[in-house]
Amino acid sequence: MPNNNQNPDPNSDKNKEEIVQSSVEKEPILDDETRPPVDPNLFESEMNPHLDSLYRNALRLTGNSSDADDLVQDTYLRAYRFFHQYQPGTNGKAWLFRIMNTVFLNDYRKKSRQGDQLSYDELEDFYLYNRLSEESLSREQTFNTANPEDVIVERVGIEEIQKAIGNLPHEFQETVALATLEDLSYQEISDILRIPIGTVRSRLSRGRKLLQRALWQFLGRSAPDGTVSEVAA
Amino acid sequence: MVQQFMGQQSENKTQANPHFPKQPLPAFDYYSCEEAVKRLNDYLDRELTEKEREDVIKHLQICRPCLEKFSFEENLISSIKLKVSSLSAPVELKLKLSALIRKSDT
Repeated sequence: MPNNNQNPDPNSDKNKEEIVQSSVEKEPILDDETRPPVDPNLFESEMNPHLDSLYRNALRLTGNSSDADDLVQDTYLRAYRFFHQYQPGTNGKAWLFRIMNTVFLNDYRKKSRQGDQLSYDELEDFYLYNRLSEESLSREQTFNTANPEDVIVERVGIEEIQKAIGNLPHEFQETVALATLEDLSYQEISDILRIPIGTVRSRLSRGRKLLQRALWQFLGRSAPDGTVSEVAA
Repeated sequence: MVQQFMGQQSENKTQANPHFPKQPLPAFDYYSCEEAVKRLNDYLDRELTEKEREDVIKHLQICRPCLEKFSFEENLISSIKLKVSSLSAPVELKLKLSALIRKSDT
């Protein structure tokens, strides 16, 4: 791997994650003339498997395909510039996601979108399951115990799912999307978002509960107490 | 874990105490739905240790309501994941990226 041997990193004892993290936020240490040449094919073989995932994340962050395109490009280019700091064979996905997160926060995020202040206190577990079973009770139907989630899965499409997640308060949105959609581990999410693992857990727990409520509304139902929409656009 | 409280002897249940027989650390209460539900997300995201996972499964084996709810959550998440993963980056974008890194190299 020519890239990694040419410029021995004086900070190699430090946590590699830290190096990557702090470096991608500053200007490149090496200017374009002196940084080691990157083999585009090697770069692509390491990074391209994650493109679909990256794109979906960009779509979720920006809300439209045109900005998502730009965000992916900026992220990709930045990763290319910092590729000499990446260890091929290590966690490229988390590395890319963190770069995207940085780029997004620096260049793309518009005025911080304050989600509706929801009361998080009474969020119940298994919200959808409970609503569905209540509903079938009230309709005197048999609750499809084999695959009760089909009701939701069949009627909620990609767009609704993305919209429902996109409507969550920002900090919940991140963890729910990264854990649920992109299969990242809690540790990886903690690194990408730079928050403690405990915070990942609590945001994920609340975020998922909120998501279930949002999905229920997409199905055209209202909350049991009669309120219809608390998760507004 | 040894709990040390101010002014008290460290009270580890596994230490010899003439009044109480040697006891293992508090075991996961298989009968407790609450204990299982506490671990719901970790279970769904495969963040539990093997032992913890087995513990939760033991509860699900004896508790039908929890089994149904956990299965619901599991299936819901994997269905959502499946749907969303069908969304891929546009081909034009991929081509653009490919050209981009080769252009900047010259």
